[in-house]
Amino acid sequence: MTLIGRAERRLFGHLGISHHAVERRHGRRPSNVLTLIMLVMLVYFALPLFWLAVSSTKSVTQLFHSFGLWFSSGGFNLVSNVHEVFTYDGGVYVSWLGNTALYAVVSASGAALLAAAGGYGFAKFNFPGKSVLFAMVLGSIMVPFTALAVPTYLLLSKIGLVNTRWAIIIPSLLSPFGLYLMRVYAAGAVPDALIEAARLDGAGEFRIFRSIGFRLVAPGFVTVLLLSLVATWNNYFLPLIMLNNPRLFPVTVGLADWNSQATTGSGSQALYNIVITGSLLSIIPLIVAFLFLQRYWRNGLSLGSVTG
Amino acid sequence: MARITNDRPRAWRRVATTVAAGAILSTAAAVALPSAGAAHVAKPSQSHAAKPVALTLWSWDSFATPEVKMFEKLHPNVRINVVNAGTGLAEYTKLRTAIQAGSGVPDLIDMEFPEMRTFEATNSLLDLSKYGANAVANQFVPWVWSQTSANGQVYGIPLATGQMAMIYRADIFKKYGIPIPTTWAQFATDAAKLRTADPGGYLTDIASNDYNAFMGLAEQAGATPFIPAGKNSWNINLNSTAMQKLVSYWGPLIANKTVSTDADFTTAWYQGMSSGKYATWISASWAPSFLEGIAKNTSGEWRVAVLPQWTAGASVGGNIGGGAYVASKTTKYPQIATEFLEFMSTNPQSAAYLALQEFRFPTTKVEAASPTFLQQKVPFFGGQEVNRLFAKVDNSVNKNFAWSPFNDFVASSFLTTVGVAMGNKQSNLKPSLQAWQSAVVSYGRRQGFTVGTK
Repeated sequence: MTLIGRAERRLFGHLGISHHAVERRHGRRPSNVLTLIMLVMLVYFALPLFWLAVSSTKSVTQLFHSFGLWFSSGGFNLVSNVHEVFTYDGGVYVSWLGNTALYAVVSASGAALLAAAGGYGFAKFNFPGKSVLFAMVLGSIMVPFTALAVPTYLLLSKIGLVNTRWAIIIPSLLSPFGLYLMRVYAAGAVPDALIEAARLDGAGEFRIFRSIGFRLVAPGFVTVLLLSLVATWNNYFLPLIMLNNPRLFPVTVGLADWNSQATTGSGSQALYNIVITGSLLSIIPLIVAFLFLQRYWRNGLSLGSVTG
Repeated sequence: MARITNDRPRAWRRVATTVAAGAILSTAAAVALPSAGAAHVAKPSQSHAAKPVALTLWSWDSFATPEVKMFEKLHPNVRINVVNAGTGLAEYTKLRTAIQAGSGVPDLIDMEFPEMRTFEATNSLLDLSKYGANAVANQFVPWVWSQTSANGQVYGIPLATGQMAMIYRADIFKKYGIPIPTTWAQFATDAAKLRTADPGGYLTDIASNDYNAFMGLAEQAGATPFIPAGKNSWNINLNSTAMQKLVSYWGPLIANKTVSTDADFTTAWYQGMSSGKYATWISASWAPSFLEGIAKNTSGEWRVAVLPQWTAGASVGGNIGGGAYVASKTTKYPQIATEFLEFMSTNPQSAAYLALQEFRFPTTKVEAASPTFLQQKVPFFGGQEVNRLFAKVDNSVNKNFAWSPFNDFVASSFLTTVGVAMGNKQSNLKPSLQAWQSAVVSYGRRQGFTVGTK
């Protein structure tokens, strides 16, 4: 946590904002109108979640035969639903959760590392073509990932990686926005003088990055890590077209498949309750990650706006 | 949710679990699955090849596995890997991507009737007639066979159908003293009567988001909007007299809120089904087992009747959904693929399994007339022999009804034209029909088809 404090001080110092000013802003009196708007927004965002939680306690019949936003008097079926989620179709849900965790953690760590190294490079080195390359990075932020899914499939199918775990991990390793964020962050967080001093002491460039640069940009690194983690966790279209083997599906594609199986006539398979309960279970890890790491988030989200 | 209809559409099969299947069904199946069924099918074939071969089959679920096992038993050198690569639109998206990439295309694919022309148009399906598929043609119900074949070419072997009927709540009709409608005119009178008697209920829901259901009704009204007219040439008329008759009928009923236009296959709609909000569901032969799954609490109250007719005393039917298995153009084993596809639908053991265990309405004449199948009494329908009723209307489906070669666009543009007008409760739906026709024709021409509009 000291890292954050240090980097924050450094960042704000760099921008000429005193710590005092930052605290004062935090302490401003709340406006009633804004509070009301926030409450309305809270209800707007929390209601679907509440519906999900309530619905996961219902059997299929209860789902379609009781008021949606309150518990059904016909029995509390959360435990049996959870049991069904984990055992249906040979426990494939467990594989899906594991796959999602694997894809998300590996891709997010890789993406954050690459973004940190790339951002540091852009911020601290001058080389021919730098502005062109950076313009390309900025340009690729504008291209939605979904639009690249089919071309990516064509590329990966040429090298035989379609329908493997690599088909999800490799494309997810690139995070142009993360790179942009890290460049901005590194520019502010790593003083040139420090790098100069390390060079005079005889440290190589990679060592400087590893022992000094990386540590100073760590808060930004965590932000990019979280951003990519959520992006990969929720990714749907890429795994949808890349993977054919249900055992390799992440939880998003798997649940969507159960849902369409239920709506395409296998209604008597009673899949609706496990689709809903499965959805609830699948967001718990993300909620936990948010609760523990939200200060990194706040920090990361304001980064661009303050220094941009 | 204005998604493309075939995203969560038409239940083309009626799948139920062994849990839901009643005791009657289980015993019936036991009778119909003689272990010696193998005797019927052992015909000489190239699949007794010396080298073992492996094919991949994309199924919407793992339900193809039992039929595959039966086939493998007779052909020890053939291995068919069943992969659930996705259901409905997800499967088509994947298939299209794989075809584009030229790799990862499976040998055998689960496909709905409405999609077949679309994949045929991109030359992605194997013409099974080159491998002898026409030899089994006369085993199939004629209109069903016409869904997968044209001009002697065969692009799939039909596996299940969705001939239409009116599924209704007998208790509601009885409670309000409403006669079971046999004509559409009477249906409209009944609908008004029910609205007066029960302000919270509707005689039916005509879903504004359901392209396939709308086309089923259009088919019954006598429309043949897509007529192939030679290579890459089509006659398209979504604004024909028959189509206009259809929307002129429903428009006023919708505008007066005599019938509802709720989106189907949504939570609210499921609730309506189990709460008695809708007294009928104009649906198809896959609907009974589907309904059992979502509205268990209404068990015993439902019945199935023949579709109301445009002309009293007529017997004209329609179809919603239904599907086939197809083989990809790129399969390395076209002969074995063809044999397997024929086997699934025509082998007595496999056909019986499909009909009795997986609740898919049979496509072959023999199985659709099998006493075991017809005599099933379904408790959910008050012990009615629902299969017998669906079998009765099987021959009333129009043989000349074809689907467009760009089904996804026709479906999505339905939503933005007729679907929107229905949702807005417009009485005059004809302008939206015209708009749909223009959109489809200009799209077809942009795609390089020669499009006539007769």
